[in-house]
Amino acid sequence: MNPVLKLENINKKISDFFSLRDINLEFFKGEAHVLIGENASGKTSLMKIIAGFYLKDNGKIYIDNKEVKINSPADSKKIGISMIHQDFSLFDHFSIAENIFLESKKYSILSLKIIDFESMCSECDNLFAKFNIKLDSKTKVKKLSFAQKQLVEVAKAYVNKPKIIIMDEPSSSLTINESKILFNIIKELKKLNSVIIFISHRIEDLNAIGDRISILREGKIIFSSATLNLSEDKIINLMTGMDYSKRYPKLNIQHGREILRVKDLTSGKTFKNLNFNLYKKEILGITGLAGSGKSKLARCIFGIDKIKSGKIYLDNKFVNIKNTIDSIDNKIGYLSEDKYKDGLFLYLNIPLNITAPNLKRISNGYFIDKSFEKELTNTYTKKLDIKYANLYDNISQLSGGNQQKIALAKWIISRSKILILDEPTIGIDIASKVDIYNIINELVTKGSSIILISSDINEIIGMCDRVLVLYEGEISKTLTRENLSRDKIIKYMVKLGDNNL
Amino acid sequence: MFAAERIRIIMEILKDKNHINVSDLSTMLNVSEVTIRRDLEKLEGKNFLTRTHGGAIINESVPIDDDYTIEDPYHEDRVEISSIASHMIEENDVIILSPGLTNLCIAKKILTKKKITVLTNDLNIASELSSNSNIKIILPGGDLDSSFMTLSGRLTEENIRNFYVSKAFIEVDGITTQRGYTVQSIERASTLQEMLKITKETIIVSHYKCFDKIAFSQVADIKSAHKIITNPSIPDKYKNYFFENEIQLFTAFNSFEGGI
Repeated sequence: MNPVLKLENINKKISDFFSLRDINLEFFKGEAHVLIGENASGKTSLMKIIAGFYLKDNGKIYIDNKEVKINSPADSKKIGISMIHQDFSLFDHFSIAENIFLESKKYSILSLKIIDFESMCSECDNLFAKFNIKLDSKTKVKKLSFAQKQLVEVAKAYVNKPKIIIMDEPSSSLTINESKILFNIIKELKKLNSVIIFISHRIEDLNAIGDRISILREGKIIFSSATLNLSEDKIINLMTGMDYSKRYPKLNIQHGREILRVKDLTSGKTFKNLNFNLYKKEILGITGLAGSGKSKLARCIFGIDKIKSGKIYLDNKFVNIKNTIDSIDNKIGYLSEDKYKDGLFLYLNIPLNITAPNLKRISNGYFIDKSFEKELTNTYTKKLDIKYANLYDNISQLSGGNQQKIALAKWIISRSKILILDEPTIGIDIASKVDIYNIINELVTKGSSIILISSDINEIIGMCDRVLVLYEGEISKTLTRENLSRDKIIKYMVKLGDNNL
Repeated sequence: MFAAERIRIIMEILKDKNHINVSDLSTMLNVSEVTIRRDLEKLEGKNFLTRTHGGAIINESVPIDDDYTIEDPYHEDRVEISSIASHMIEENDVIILSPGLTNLCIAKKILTKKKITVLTNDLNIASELSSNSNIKIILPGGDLDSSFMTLSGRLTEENIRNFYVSKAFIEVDGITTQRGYTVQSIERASTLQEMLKITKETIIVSHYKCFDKIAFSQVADIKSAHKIITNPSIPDKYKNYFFENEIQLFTAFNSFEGGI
């Protein structure tokens, strides 16, 4: 059988630290091809090349044995490739039916410039009945939940009968029932001889619909085969790869008394009834897949997002953290996952950024002591090896690693007792990474406690004393340093449970 | 060789011989005469000696006091390195401290610890540690180099071979990726190589100025270390190199502002 879509030696440099390398893959008609890999293994990037959002650096793409050039999403659409994104491309103010038939233009009578709403809605309702989707075709899309929008996206793709349909983690937000609907649609698409490329973190999806599996790791395809006779253990082994955790500068430091206790913390939908504690001088790791609630948890403890119920105790005393000012006053520091959006003032200079949470310390009554501010900044840029051309340039001109160190410096100066770091090393250069690990060490030896949120399993194993693995808003396992291994973390990340270990 | 070390040697020689000439020192220490003159100038500023044509004589009035040392410009860096090192030493550990000022700082830091056995060929380190009777000190035999107060030679190496330790803190003078870890004298390098053979874990300690420098004699290849302890301002390429080659790199600094 000839492949419908064939990728030959595709290479693409995504960033200085990550590229897709020599991707060779074949996709056959009527098959669901599941693409599995850890966070940031390159799954989405690869799909964006097929869908025309990214240009490949080199390599060839063949459709039905003919080489094609995909230079834009339009090119890709012309070929019959349709991609369902993690973020949506629906029109919020249009009805479901309008959204579904928008691209096929099936019911627009162009000569009269009118749309046959009646038949459009009735076909939409028939479609929903067929797949047991309980939605009214006339509802505006903006009223739908995240998962419902996902189903509308899939239904829309189904109506267009694409040659190739790419689904980027469609199942991660769906309930069991909704997943069933999704899998039924996929089965129908298979009957229509479409190629389904299904990106997933979840191994159970593979058993439900996969005909073929490919595993991506660090930008390379490391395994590709029909799914027959493939045990979950084998898949996890292939996904995880080498253990690189020994390169991390880890100091063994005896931890002290309990400093933070989180009791029955619930935040709307993302997570509920979380219980854990943190000891003085401890590095507590929190990991989980995208959407497991790890970032939301940090935002809730730091007071950015409201909590619905539950209590936070510091040093055994209940504290009511209503906002970030409360948490700073309680000596909690926080490094956000997206430092550009809410971690730094990109268009202010280094001293202003470093002293932002510390204005009380550097002001004498009403005025800021400029010379003190400068002295403080000079001291810390030297200590943290922050490289800059001019102290008073906007920090937007600095590298990501140096920006991250500035973000850390401000919490060091404010002498945070608890520092919550959300993906502190993502996308930064190795030298800065090493610096950040050493900054963490220094803070811990001086008595601070660290909550390190990361999806980099090596980093988690390399640096943490204890690790909470989150799965869909629950702690699926707490692992101590002696019990840490890549296999275990991944198993609890995808929640295979104890009997599979 | 670094200024502090050179100055220490010059002072030792002067105390011994009372006078010294520049060209002899220059050959002995393998540095230019200009450098020697600059060192002598510094010592003159401290009233330790008086410069003469082509040399220097010791000031008679100077009491020959062992504590009289020129301020070590890297003292703070060494202290920071030693505090990281002290976190690596646990009760019941048997360790090596090789000769050097940084290791001397480590010795001072671990004085409060109990049940530690230290094998060292540096008499200054041994003397520092001797104030705590809970620390067992083992000295090998050998030839005494009185300018550094260290032991070396065949006897030292043979003695060292009788032991096995869990961690060796090896202080070096130069680190580059091509030449690995280097020190100034052949005898020292040879002793250090014996130490590397009898340790489970090799921990290289060196302040940041030693990076990108090659000293006279090679101790070991760059990949032979398990851990490095230094300061944050080393060149980025070393941070990359050690991380990518699975060698733990500790960069020590003090997060408390000095006196603020």
